[in-house]
Amino acid sequence: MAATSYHREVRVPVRSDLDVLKARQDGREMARELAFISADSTLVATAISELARNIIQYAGQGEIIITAAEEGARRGIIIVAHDDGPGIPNISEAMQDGYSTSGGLGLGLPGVRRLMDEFEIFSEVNAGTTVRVKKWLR
Amino acid sequence: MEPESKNRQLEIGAARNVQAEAAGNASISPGPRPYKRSVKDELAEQYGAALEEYLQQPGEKALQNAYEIGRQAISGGLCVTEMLAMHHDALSRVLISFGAQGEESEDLMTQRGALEGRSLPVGSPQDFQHLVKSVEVFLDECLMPFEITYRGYVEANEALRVSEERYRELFENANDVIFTTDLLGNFISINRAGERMIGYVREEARRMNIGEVCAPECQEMAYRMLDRRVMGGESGPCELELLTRDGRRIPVEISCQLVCREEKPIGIQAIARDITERKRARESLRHLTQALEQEAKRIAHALHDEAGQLLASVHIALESVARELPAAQGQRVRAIQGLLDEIENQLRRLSHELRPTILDDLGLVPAIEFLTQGISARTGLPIEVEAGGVGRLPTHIEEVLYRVIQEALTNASKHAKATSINVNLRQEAREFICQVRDDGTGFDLRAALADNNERGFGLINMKERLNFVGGTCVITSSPNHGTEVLITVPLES
Repeated sequence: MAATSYHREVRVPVRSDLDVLKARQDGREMARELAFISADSTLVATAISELARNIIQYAGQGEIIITAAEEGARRGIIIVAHDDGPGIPNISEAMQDGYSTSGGLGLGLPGVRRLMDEFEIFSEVNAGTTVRVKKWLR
Repeated sequence: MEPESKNRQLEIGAARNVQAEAAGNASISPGPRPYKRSVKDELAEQYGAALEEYLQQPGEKALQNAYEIGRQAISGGLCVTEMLAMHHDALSRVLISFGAQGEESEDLMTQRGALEGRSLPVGSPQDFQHLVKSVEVFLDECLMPFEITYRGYVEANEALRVSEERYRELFENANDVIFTTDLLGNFISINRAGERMIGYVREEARRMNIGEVCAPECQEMAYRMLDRRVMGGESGPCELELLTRDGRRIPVEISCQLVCREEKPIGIQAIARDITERKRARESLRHLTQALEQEAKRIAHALHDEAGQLLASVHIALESVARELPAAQGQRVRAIQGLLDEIENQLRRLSHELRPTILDDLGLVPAIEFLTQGISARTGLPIEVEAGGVGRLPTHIEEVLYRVIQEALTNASKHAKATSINVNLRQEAREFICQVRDDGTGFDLRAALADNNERGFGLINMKERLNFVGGTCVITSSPNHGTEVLITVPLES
């Protein structure tokens, strides 16, 4: 894999709905700067919404880091959602549709996976969870 | 938001909905009644407010609102078209206000009331273009949860397709016949093995009922099995004969399961296995057992009658010799006579064990009593025999019962370390029941059946012999709780 070079980075602490708003705004701005089409900027904002919602719901607080990145010829946006919460005991279960209580099929983490080009999740019980997603410029 | 304008908006929404409800439920109490706001109305109002807010002050907050409304719409079970209708309503109000800046008819004035006091982007075509674009962004945001859900369904469908394909392959390539029917036994699906066996292709089978492919005398059994399943009953596989298109009969073992959807029974799923070979094997085993029994009878007869007769003659001859000899030599001949007596006794016992003539002559109960007396004498184990209302049974049933009870008694006396055994024989209207109970150590039935030893074979032999006469044998045993063997044989009325 080509080395990833990072450019700009924004960190948003997530504690309340207001912080979610801020994270979405920063994500959308970064996407716009990278010349994402409007629909893809919306995808980025959506992913941030779902990731931030997860942080507030399960860990109470955390952080979202939005980075503009370059990997070979590709340019894109990397979103990292991190918390020091209770962690996810069973990741594959959490990644299954219908597991979350959100109602619609595939909202929550599985939805984020489908919206983004790349998705990684690391979690340790009683230590926290980190989700790292990438969306490349089309 | 001003409370006044909110109230007016509410009234508009309420009026529209009462109309819609009245149209849909004309028969139910027309006229005004207390109106209950639905999730949809609630969201429509929120959406309208959020859209206006966004157009006045484009920002992330209103977009986030739009997203949350979309999310709630999904949780509330709304569909995309309802979402779009909501958008359309909100947009109409915005556009009325936009267009009404120039010329205002009375009607528009009234409708515009809802938006009174707002300053929306108005006027020029550039403004209009900007408005359209903003509205698009806003709608996109609101539809995003639907997009996620849609992608979820696409993925789930694909996974479903793959798993269905795998299931279908399993279904089609199975050697056993697999089929499903509705609750009345009408075929819904059947696999290739099934088509091959009954000789009907699935399109034909789908117009047929299970009864049509059962041998006439098996139809009742098939329906009984079906009904039992539908009523939620459990039972093991059953054997019946299928009738093929060209009139052949094929014995099968069928096991079936109730198929439920949302906890309601909707059909039956069944697996049928051709047991022609198994039946043939069982039949030859039966012949073999019968031949063995005949052979034992012949040898027992030869031992008892022929050898016994000969020994008796020798006895008489020796007796006369002994009488003619002097006392001292006569004593030695008498000693030989004593040995002859012992031989005769042993021959009689051997003959009896091979084939108790008492069974043929007096029937099951005396034969069992004689047998238990022998075992008690040999082992010192008290064996109680209780028999109520048992008369003579058909010879082949008496034979089977005798051998099976003999095996059960052998097990109890040899392996169980019992201190007493109880045998209970009962003849009822339609069946013969026998219980053999001991207070011994008990044993692990599964392990015993798996053992390739005398006891394992003995147990299998019991089941097989009973099978010939349609009987069953239930063995209840656990370590330290003794063993009960319950033998049941149906009697023809």
